[in-house]
Order: sequence, then structure tokens, then C-alpha cells
Amino acid sequence: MNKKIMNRRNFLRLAAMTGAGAAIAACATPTPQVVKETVVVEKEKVIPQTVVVEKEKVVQQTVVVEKEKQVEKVVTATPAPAVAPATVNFFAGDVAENKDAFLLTADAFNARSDKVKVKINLIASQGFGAKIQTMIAANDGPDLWPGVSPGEAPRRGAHADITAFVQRDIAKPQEYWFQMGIDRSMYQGKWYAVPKDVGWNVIAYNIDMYEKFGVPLPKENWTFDDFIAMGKQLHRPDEGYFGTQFSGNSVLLWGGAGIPYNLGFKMQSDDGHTVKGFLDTPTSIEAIQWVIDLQDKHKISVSGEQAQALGGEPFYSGKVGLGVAGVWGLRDLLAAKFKFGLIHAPIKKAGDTIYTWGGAAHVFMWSGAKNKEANWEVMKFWSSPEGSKIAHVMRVAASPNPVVWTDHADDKDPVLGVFLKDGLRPTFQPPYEISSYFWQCVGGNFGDIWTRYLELKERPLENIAKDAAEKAQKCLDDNYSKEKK
Amino acid sequence: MAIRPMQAGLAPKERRFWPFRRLSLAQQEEIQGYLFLMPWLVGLVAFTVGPIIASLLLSFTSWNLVSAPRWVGLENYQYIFQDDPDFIQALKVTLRYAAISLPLHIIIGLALSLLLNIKVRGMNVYRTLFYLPSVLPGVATTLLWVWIFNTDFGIINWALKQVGFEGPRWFQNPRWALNALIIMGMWGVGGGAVIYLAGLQNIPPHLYEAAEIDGAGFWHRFWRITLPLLTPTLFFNLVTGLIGAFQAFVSAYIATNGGPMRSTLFYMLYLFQKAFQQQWMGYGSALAWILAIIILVCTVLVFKSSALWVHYEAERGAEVRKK
Amino acid sequence: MTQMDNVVNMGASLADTLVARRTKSGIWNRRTRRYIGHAVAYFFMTACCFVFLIPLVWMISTALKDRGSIWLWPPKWIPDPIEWHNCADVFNYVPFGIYLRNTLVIAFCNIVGHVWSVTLVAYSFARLRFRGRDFLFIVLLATLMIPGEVTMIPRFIMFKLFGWYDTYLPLIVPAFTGGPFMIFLVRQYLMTIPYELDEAATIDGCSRLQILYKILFPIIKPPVTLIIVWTFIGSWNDLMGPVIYLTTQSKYTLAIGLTTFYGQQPHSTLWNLLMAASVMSVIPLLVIYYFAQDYLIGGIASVGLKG
Repeated sequence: MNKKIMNRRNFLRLAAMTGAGAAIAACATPTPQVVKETVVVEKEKVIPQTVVVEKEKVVQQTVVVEKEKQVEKVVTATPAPAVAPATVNFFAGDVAENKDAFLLTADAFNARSDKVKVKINLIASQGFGAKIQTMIAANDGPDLWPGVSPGEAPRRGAHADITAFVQRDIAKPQEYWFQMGIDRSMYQGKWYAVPKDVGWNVIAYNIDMYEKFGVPLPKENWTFDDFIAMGKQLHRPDEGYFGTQFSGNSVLLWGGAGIPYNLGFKMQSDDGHTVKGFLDTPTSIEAIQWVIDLQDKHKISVSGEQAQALGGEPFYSGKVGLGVAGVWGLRDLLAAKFKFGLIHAPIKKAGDTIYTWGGAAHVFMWSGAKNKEANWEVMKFWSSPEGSKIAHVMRVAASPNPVVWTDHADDKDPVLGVFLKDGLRPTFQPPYEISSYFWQCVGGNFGDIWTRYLELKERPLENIAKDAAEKAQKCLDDNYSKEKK
Repeated sequence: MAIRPMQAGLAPKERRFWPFRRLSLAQQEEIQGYLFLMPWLVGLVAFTVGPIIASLLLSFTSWNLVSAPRWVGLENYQYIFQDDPDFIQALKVTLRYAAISLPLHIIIGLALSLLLNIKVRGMNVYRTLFYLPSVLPGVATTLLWVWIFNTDFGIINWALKQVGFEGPRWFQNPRWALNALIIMGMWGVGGGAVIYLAGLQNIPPHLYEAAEIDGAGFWHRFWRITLPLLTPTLFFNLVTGLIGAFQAFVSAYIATNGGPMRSTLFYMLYLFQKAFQQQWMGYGSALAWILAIIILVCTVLVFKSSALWVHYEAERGAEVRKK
Repeated sequence: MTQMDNVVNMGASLADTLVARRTKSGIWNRRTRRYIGHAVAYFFMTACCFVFLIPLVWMISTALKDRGSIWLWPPKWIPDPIEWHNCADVFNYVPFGIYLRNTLVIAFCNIVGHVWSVTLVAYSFARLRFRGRDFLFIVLLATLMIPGEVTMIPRFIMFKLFGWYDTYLPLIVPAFTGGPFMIFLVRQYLMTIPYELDEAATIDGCSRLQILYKILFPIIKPPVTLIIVWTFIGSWNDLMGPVIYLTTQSKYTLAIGLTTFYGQQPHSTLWNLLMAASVMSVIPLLVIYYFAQDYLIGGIASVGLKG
């Protein structure tokens, strides 16, 4: 419960600093903070925000000036750039699984940072987005907040452009972060975020089922033909077992690991503004047909509705032979009650490029934030190997820095090793992460292809796909042209 | 209230300082009426009017929630009525939902309340259970309903199979998805039943006793006593149900997100998508004001009709009769 | 379920008419008739209750499962093993003690505010005559017709200008200005009470306030009970209000605490703990509703429909 009172702890530390004087404070700073610090403050009443701020002001005025000389040798140990003292307000989701890691990362930052302190405000995860939007609309945004890929959102102006900071402090982003973390942090060549954690999906198979039905396990470079053959052998709906979990449009949107890219499916242009000429090409239509066939022709998949009945991710029901497992669901995967294996998504033929599918979570800075340099310090730490490893070793978020993985010998781990290998493969930005109008214009019309083919029995698929692309394109054009006005 | 001491304190000699020398009873009543209304009037001015006017002004702007709103005049409204195909669809879905679910709610809620009003042992437990859905958190229960409607594993299709019917693919099929949401909504009927239940308490029991002595059966008592005396409550449930039905969207948001093929694109869902997911707050505000005016027209019509069918024991015209 | 309710309705009335006919022919007396009516009612209500209970059973079942068996298929209604400690684990994540206290403070203030303001305003709308009354009443309802989603941000900015951000004031003070739905409900109820009561009281020298609180208040106990129950449930479950207006964790409420178990991706949602916490938070509401019925059912008609 002591984790709840970050501001209290900060406050105590600051109060102690004022009281004990500059020397003590300066000496105390570089000591690494023990993570499970038990400050007995639970019983204390609320201390209003203002008090904390006042104390900080005092710190700024009285302590800091004296500190300068003594701090110097400390600075060499933990390189803190010249930055004005500040408290950075970091608004984060109050999520049971992640918040410990978040608070511990903040502790680690505060322990090493001398002048800049970060204060975590935990906000209910349901309504988090609405709260941030409301605050920004009221011109009182948080200094920093986490979120998924911003896509085109930076064009609205809420996200601070941090290109100069990144270029100054990060020598080689390509080596520092996973590719999928970099792509999604940028919009039109500028940086608007740094990756906080990354995640991607691989194909998971239920070894218990393979053994039960005497099916040989999939091997590296397995193909779509192998996939369907295995699915047919594993699919025994009368006994309550299903070959694969892949059904519906979600396979091509977000639920199919690398399958869509390995099929050569490309839904839209890179900027997300054009669908026509992408969604309705012969290759794309072939890919759609392949996914529909899984449930319509080969009948080796749970139906879309069965997938829901089987819970969030059908694979964890233990009744599905081939499913997906993600870095973000690592804890569920490790809690599974059956033997499983992991492998890359199947390909058309041996020798084809193998793609992966993934996403990232980021830290954003509000464009109206006052002390950008201080905010950047915090952001940078969150995205650095030093900061990101805390959540990584707790298995609640995967580090965006490949070096953290190798440092912890994750490449040798039977589960994480497969993930790491897959995470380094080429990938694209998922379609819905780009255009702001994706779900309204493209997602719905794309999903309707399945409804029209399977429910309304319309044929041929080509016409349905062309019609969907037409409608989606018109919707995108309408929205973008209205926006320009 | 405040008037009485004032009146009482008006000794004859002081009368000349009191400009309104003779406050008639009607005038007193008028002043008192506004005094009693004060809590609401203050709230209206202090908390409600401002944001509402702000949203009206915003509906004439283009606002992405970040940069300053830009005045565009009637452009949003023009676009909605001329170029927005989803607006018509959303309106159709909502009207259809309201037209089907509102009468069902009224009738079934009333029937349920009559059952729950029977005074027998253990009825408290039943009343609590039927009210349960109004208390449970919405997201978790909607997810559960998605499972109940499942084509192959859901309870509903299982039950239909037992009586020899092939159940539809509820949320996959554009013809059935809205019906599934309507049935889902009926689960909350206990909330309306409780209001009828409160209304039933106000029917004088001697009326029933007299009717029973006359040998009147259940239907007779229901049509001649219960229903007429319950019309004020019925009227309440009708108006609030109307507003609620037009603004419904949570279940669609979670279960279908408007699909398949926009068959469950509720008006409020569409508004929410525009205002928050796309951050077209000005456009969303315009949509909101159109919806508000539609609801207002319906409500005023219902109010006008109430003179014909709502029976008030104590109805007093608003205008003070001048003496 | 729709059909089921219709069946109940039809069944009850059918039994009633059948029984009524027999009574006329003198075979069954009134008491037998009533017993049979009750038996039929019990039967159908028990059948209906199964539908209404499924979600609660599912919640309780999930609450007692371990992480690996939540999504097992076919679902296990009785968890194996039963993880009783989930109920205790919930408290490791969230300081529910503080949150409970905050929620109760807000709920109490809201109840006081609503009962005070709603009765006054409803009394005025129902029983006093003044110019513009009917127009103002439509205005009252019209404020409900603008969806809260589009007034949320202006409202937030307004309360922030008042300096009420991160205090309970935006969550409490509006209750003292009455809730439109509740005012409407009490107004409807008051209009079913004969005005002669007021006139008699006036002759006895009662002021308007005395009429309201001494004469009418006991009669309008059922809707007032409803207001109290609604307000309590509303404050208990309100999420968006506290999320938007509060940022200090020591001021948070139970509804915020519950969302801790939701994940930012569906994967990281701790379903078993979420359900354990939800069940525990629903129980007080059910208990309160159960006991509130004594006030809800009563009023001047303490004898029932079939009595």
C-alpha cells in the first residue's frame, strides 16, 4: 500500500532536504534507492498539492544555490545535464499489473536525478483518455503521459515536437530501440514520442494437442500449406478441440501475428490516406479469401463468435491448436495450464521474408508543458535501458531497448528467445495506427466484407472488396477534405 | 415560507414602508413558487446554462480539442444534413430502437411491478434480484451478454434449439444485431418496475376493496383503478424512457461498435465517435444539438398529449387566477 | 426473456380469471384463490430469476478462479481450485479503506443535497401556481436532452475557473441544486395526492414548508426512498466524475479503485480480481436496496393490489 503515496514520499524527501541542508541532500542523492522502500505514511492525511509545491519552491531557493559546488563530483557519476530544478507531472494509468513497475521506475529516476523529480499521478485506466483530452482542452495538460502510437494525432498540436532532444541525446536510435518503437514515435519525419515498451505477436501452438492427435510440431520456415494441414488434423469440434483461432477480419487487422504481411497483404498507403488500389489488389483479395477459407472452406477455425466465447484470447482456453501469443500477454502465457511452443508466422514458400507484427507504447510530452528540458530528462530515462529494464524484469512490459534483452540473457530463454528473434524481424506499422479516420472509414467497411460474404452470401469476393475499398476511400476523402476547410 | 413572517410583522403603522401593500394570496403563492424553485434555479444559472451555451457555440465552430476553436457558422449543420450518410443511418437505428424498446419496457416493467407488489413472504428477495442488473457494473455484464448471444455456445441459441429453432448469428448478422441489443436492454427492466412499484403505493387500498366487494375481476380492477391512477408514473417512465432510448449507446459501444454494416450505429455512438475518437468536437456538438431538438419535440408532444390520458389527482393550472 | 415475462403476465392473469370464475360458482373460496395466485406468481418469478442471476453467478465464479482457468472451455461454473484468497488479494492493489471513506462522504452529501433540493423544487412544480411554471418545467427536462458528453469539457473548464479542481465540490454541490429526473419523479407523485390535504392544513395554520415536511413528506416516502437509493448507487458507481475532477490519489473513490484491475490491453485485465472486487462492491448496494424496500413498499397503501 505504500506505493500509493508517491507524492508523500517526494514530499518527505524534499522536506528532509530543506531541513537537513544542502550537503546531506547532495550526498544522499547518488545512493541507489532500494525499490521496496517502506515509508510508513499510509495513515497520514492528505497533504494538499500546494504544500508540496511550496516546499519545492523553498528547496529551489535555499538549497540549490549552495549545492552547486558539492554536486559536481556527483554529476560525473550520474550525468545530469544542466537543467533547471523542476517537478515533472507524469500522468499514468492506474493499472494493477503495471503500476508497481511505473512507481519503481519513478523511484529509480528520482534517486539518480538531482534537480528534476518526477511525480506520478495515477489515473483510472477507464477514462484515462477522456481525462487527458479534457485537461489538454482546458489548456492544463499533463507534462507527460503514456499511450499507444500517436499516428497522425501530432498534427493537432497536443504533442510536443522532441526532435531536437532526440537528435542531441540519442546517437543511434536504430541500435538503441527496436524498429517498431521508432516508426511509431515519428510523424512526418519528426519525433513526437519515445517508446516505453514494445509488444508483438508470434504464433503459439498447443503441444498437448499436437501430441494427443499425433501431429508433428511446426518447424522454422513452415508454410501456409503446413498450417492448413495441421489445422485439419487438429480440428475436432465434436471433441471440443479447434484447429486454429484465426477467423474474421481481425486476422488481417491485428490478430494474426505476421500472417497478413507474409501473405503480402497491404491494406492502405503508407500515410493511411489511400485505400483504393491497395485493399482491392489481387494479392489483397487473395489474402482475404485465404482468411475466409479458414472458416468457410477448410473449416479449421473457431468462428468469430466462438473466439469471444472462449475468452479474450482463445489460445488460452487450451482447446485451440494454433493461436497467437503476445509479449503483452506474457503473464497469461506463463500461467497456461498446458505445454505450448512458439514460432514465427507461416510463409508462402521457404526462403520468403518472414515478417512480424507488433506495436509499441510511448511516452508523450504536452506541447504546452513549461519545462521541456526537465520533461525530456524523465522521458529519456523511461525509454533508456536503465529505466525500461525495471518493468522488463518484472515481466509487465517488454523493454524497447534490445540491449536489455541480451543483458538479461533473454535470447537464451525458451519463450523470450523466440519472441526476441521475431521482434527483430522486419515489420510495418499496423493500418489502424496511422489515419485518425481508420476505424470509422476503413475498419468498418473492411469488416463488412466478412459479413457480406459469410452472412449475406454475396459473391464474388472481388466485387465486395472493390466496393468496400470504394466506400472506405470516399469516407476518407470526405473527412480529410472537411478537415482542410 | 419567507413571506409569512413578513406578513405577520407588518404592523399597521409600518405598512406605508411596504410598497406592495396588498399581496393577494395568489401573488404570495407566485413568490413562494419561485422561492421554492431557488435551489434548482441557482444551479441552472451557476452550473448548467454555461456549459450548455458553450456547447451551442461550439456547434458553430471547428474544434479539435487542442487549438482554439475556429468559427465556421452553419457549416457543421449544413454538412450533417447534406453530406453525411452516417447521420441518417444513425438516426434510423436510434428511432427503430426507441420505437421497439420503449413500449416493451413500459409494458413489461408494469407487468413485473404488479407481480412484485404482491405481498407474500420472500418478495423482498425477488425485488432485490430483479433490481440487480441496475446495480451491476455495465462493462462486465455487457461482455457477459456477448457470450449469452454466442451463436454456437450461447444460452439463447441453446434454448432455441431445445424447442426446435435454429438460432441466428446475433451479432454477426445485420438483421439481428439490433434485436440482440434490444433484448439485452430489456434486462434492465427491473429499474423501471421499481418506479411503478413506488407509484402503486399511492393507490388508495379502499378503492380495491370496494371493487372487490362489487365482484370486479383482476382485469376490471386493473383497467379501472390501477392503470388510471398509475398514469402519472407511466407518464414519467415514458418521458424518461424516451430520453434514455434516444441517448442509449453503451451496450452498442462495447458489444458491436456500430456494426455489422452499421446496423447498430446508435446516434450517440456516432456522436461519441465524432466528438472524441476523431476529435471533431464542434461537429459532435452540432450532432448533439440536433438530437436534443428531436428529443425536445417528442417530449413536448408527449406533454401535450398528457392532458388526454394522464390522470392527476391534484392538477393546478400554472396561471394564477387574477381576482 | 421477453417472452418469459409475457408468459408470467399471461399466466398470472389466466390463473386469476380461472380462479375468479370458480369463485363465482362457489367451489373455491377467496383464500384458496389467493394461494393459487401466489403459487403461480412464485413459480414464474423463480424462473425469471434464473435469467437475472446468471451474471452474478458468473461474476462470483470468475472471482474465485485462478488466472489459468478463467478462459477454460467449457467454462467451469464451480472453480477448481477455489481461490478464496482473490478476495483478500484485491486489497493489496488498492487502498479500499480510504476509497470507501471518500465514497461514503460523497454519497452522504449527495443524498442530503438531493433530498433537500428535490422535494422543495418538486413541491413547487407540483402544487404551486406561478407564471412560467410549465415553461420552466420543460426547461428542466430540456437540460437532460443535451448529451453530457458535449458539455463535459466546458463544465470541466468552468469548475476549474471556480477553483474547484481536485476537490469534492464539483461532485457534491450540484446535488444541492436538484436532479431533473428526480424532481420529475417526485412532482408526478405529488400530483397524485389530493390538494384538499394542503388546503385543510392551510386552514389549520400550516405554512407551505410545514405542509411539505409535515403533511406530504410521510406520503411521498416511496419516491424519496427511490431518490436515496438512486443517489447512493449513482455516487457509488460514478466513474467519470471522480476521474475528471480528482487527481490526488488520496481523494479517489471506490469506482476508480475498481478500474485498477482493468488492463490497458484486454490481456492485462485481471478478470478474477476485477470480479472479486466488483462482487464485493455490489453487495452493500444490494443490502441497502433490500432494506430500503420497507420504505418503498408502504406509504398510504400498505395493503397490496390483491389484498
